[in-house]
This record gives sequence, structure tokens and C-alpha cells, in this order.
Amino acid sequence: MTDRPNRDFSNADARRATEQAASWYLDQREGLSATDQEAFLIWLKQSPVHVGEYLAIARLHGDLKAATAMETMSAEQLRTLAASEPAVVALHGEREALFVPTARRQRNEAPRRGRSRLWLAAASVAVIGLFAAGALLFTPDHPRSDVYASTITEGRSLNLPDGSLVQLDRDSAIAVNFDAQFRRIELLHGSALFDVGKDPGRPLQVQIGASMLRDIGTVFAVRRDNAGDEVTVVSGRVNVLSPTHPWLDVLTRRLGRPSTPDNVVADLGAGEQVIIGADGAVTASSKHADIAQATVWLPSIIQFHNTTVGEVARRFNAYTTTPLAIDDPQIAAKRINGLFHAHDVDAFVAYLGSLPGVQIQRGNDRVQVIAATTGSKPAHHRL
Amino acid sequence: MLVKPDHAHGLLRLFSEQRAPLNSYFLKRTAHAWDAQDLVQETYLRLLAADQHGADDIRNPEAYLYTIAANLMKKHAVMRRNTPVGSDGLGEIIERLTTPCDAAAGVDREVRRQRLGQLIGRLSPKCRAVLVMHYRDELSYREISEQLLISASMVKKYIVKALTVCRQGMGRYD
Repeated sequence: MTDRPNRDFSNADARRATEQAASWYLDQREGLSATDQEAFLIWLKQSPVHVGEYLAIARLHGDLKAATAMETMSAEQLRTLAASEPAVVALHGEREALFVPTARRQRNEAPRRGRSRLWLAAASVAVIGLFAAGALLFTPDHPRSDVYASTITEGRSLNLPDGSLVQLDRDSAIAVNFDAQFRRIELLHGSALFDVGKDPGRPLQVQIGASMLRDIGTVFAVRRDNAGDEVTVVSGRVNVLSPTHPWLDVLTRRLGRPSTPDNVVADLGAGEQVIIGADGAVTASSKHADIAQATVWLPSIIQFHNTTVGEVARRFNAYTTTPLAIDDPQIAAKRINGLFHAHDVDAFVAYLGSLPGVQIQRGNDRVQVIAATTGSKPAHHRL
Repeated sequence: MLVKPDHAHGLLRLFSEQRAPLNSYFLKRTAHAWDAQDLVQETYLRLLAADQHGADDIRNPEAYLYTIAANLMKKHAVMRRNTPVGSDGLGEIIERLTTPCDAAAGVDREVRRQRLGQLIGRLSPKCRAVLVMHYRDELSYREISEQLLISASMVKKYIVKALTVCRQGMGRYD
């Protein structure tokens, strides 16, 4: 499992982009070989931020003659001043060293029995008195929950073993409990966004308060709140199930039956949102939720280095109701570098479309990234 | 100097072949901040599209970039003024790009340079010396390296550092 902290585009990242732009700009003044020009073009294509910084440096360059003319020190005085600076400070500005993989934070493992498990245990005790079948609840392989929590200052990204991707807002926690039959996650507090890995034989269920969400291959956000829990579907479908008795749930599960009877209180598609009260009843719903608002806590910049197209596409899919679908395994495995505004999926799609052998097809509910058919270049383009 | 009806390619040729004078023209325009996200965005998308459809043509990506940007600025300027632009003269295009609010632009430019001057004054001694010697005194990396007894590649690194600090210091101010 991989785990990385979510930081917004930091000052260090911004400075690096500017340094690269400045370095390229100076290189251009000296003249570049055809190979270097190619590398420069690749760098420009990696990010709208690069394009913006390059033009900003070009503009700055245009002002510098006039601005440095205001300097009152003579060349001699400047030399003396420069000599007064003691040691040469190490500069990081080398293009080669610009992308440093994000440092992985130590996983704050702390697996413990979640509160729900304790509750279940207590419930189980009661069940024993009533049903002989209660023995089923105490089979020794009974799985434990792993609890993952973010800090107050920093969100967190988790890649779960089933391929699901979970983003935690600051000050949030989930309990994860996977076994051979089920994948269960409980949102203990805060907000989380789930991009669910496909595993048809083992449905994923997310518990929020008394309610259960059943996912059908989806990206959705959940926020716990005293005023009512909020569920927002970014893409795909999610069923909201009314509360069941935990012991009944565990019992049916131990007997290998489908998890819950179909007590669906809401069936949500892309862009839909509901608020659920403490009793599990839907108190408000919207057909056209403000996705940007519901996911406002997600990082505003998506930066990647030597990362597969498939993985980057999934990160963007947290922000759009028309997700990127990449069925071609070769394209999905292609490794790319770049820096994009997270809410600007179009720029990333355009970037993908510019890669050799890649073609984009826009549908109503998804953007398909497919292998290009050769020899279909349009004759004209706008400059 | 006249531009043929397909002025896009005329501009490209001119930006490629006569970089210096056109650059200075180009950089005079101040009606737009390059931080304006939409303009950068559109420039980026057009660069991608151009590269995708005619990668062989982009031998000079910088000139290409400026051409795209200049065309977009022209489009925006036209939209702002709601008047058509004749496409026959480069001078006219440049004129239109730079003049929408020339008086205001002049003041703006002056304010910007004052601020830039302050930022230069706050640079570390070597950065400041290198930057001023390069831009004001027009010394080459080699000449500066001899005067300051550092390598030419270090001179370049100091300029990169100085440009970065200035750019970041100007931030969204410009």
C-alpha cells in the first residue's frame, strides 16, 4: 500500500517551475541545439504552469534593462559587495534534479479495534443469548479494522490493497476492514473521497453513521457532519442503504449470504448528492451538486513524475463527472511527467491527446483515451 | 514591413528570424498580465494542438510560443475594442497589441520597474552583482566570471536564482 501526504502546490514547487523557466530562457538566448529545442518543447508541454512561467520570465527580462539601470552602485562597488558574501551557497536549479519524488511519510499504522468492532462485540454478546448461531460471530479469523487518520494540518492519500484510492481531508479517519467476501470501510470522522477499485466478487461498502453506501464502480465523496452526513457522487453509481441491525448483518455475512436486503433509500448517479440524518433518512438531495464545493479540500494541483497515465487519470477523476477511461493497457502503463491544475481536466486531456499514439474520444459521460489510428492527422491547425 | 494574409505564419517567421526587435515589441505590451489564467491556458492548449498536428514544424518552440501568444492577445484586444483589425500590417497588429491603454500602460510599467528595482536591491550580494552586471552593464557570463572569480556556469546559476526571486517577488502584482 502506498501512502502520501496531500500538500497543495508548495512554494518550493512554484519556485522550481520558475527556476526551470528562467534556465530555459537563458539557454534560448545562447542558442539551443535541435535536441535541446525538443527537450524545451517537452518541458513546455508538461504544464500550463511552465508556459505561464516562461512568458512571465520573458516579460521580466524585458523590464530588467530599465530596472537594473536604477542601480546606483558602480561595477567596482558591486564587485566588492559580491566578494563580501562568504561562501557559495548551493543552488538547486539543475533541470535534471527538478523532480524529486514526493517523500513518503511513514504510515501511521496504529491498527486497533475500531469502535464499531467493540460495539459489534457487545452486540454479539447479546446475540449469543438469543441465537445458537451466535457462535458464527466468534470464528477466530474475524478480521480487524485498520484505522488510517490524517493530521489537522495535512490530508492523506491511501492506495488500498484492492486498488481503491482514498483521499482523506485534514483531520479525518477511516477504518478499513477487508476480507475474502467483503470490503468494508467506515468513515469515522471528517471527509474522504473514494475511488473504488473494481472487484465484482467482493462489493465495497462504506459505513457512515448508521447508513451504508454500496458502491458500483465509482468515485464519490463523503463528509461526516453533525448536521447530517453528506454523500456526493462524482462519477458512477452509489446506493444508500438504510440502517440494519449490525448483528443481523454480521450473521448473514457469516452465512455467506448477500450483505444486506435491498433497503435502498437513495440511488445516486454522477453529480448527485444527499444529506443523511442520524436515523438514516435522507433529509436533502440535489440532482446537480456542486462537485467543486464538495471536493474543495482536495489538492488544487496535480503533480506527477514518472507516473503511469492510468494512475494520473484516476487522480483527475476525483474532480470530474466525465471521468477518463483508459482501456488500452499500453497507454495506461505509459509513464509521464507533468504539473496541472486539478480542476482543469481539459488541459490534461489535451496533453494526453498530444502524446504519440494516443487519441481522445469525448462521450457524454466519459472521456475515452484510446490508441490512435495511424495517418489521421488533420491538415490544418490554429496557431 | 508587411505581413502576408496568413499573418500567423508571417508572425512565426518574423519571431523566428528577427527575434530581438520583435521580442522587445512583444514585451512592450502591458495590457495583459501573463498570470491571467485563461490566456496561459489557451496558449498551452494551442501549443499542444500545434505540436500534435505538425510536430515537424516546431523547430523553434519559443518563436512558436510567442506567435500563439501574440495571436491570442490580438484576438482579446479585438474582442475588447469590438473593432475588426486589418490583417495586412505587422506594425498595425503590434500597435493594436500595445496601445489599448497606452497611458495607463506607461504608468503601470513604471510602477512595475520601481518594484523590480526594490527586489534587485534585496537580492543576495552575488546575485545582485551578477544580475546588474549582466543586464545594466551588458557583460557576458565569461566577463562576469572573470571579474567575480567564479565559473561561468555559476554566473548563469546566479542569474537564474535572481530571475526566480524577482519573478516570485513580482508575483501576481504584475
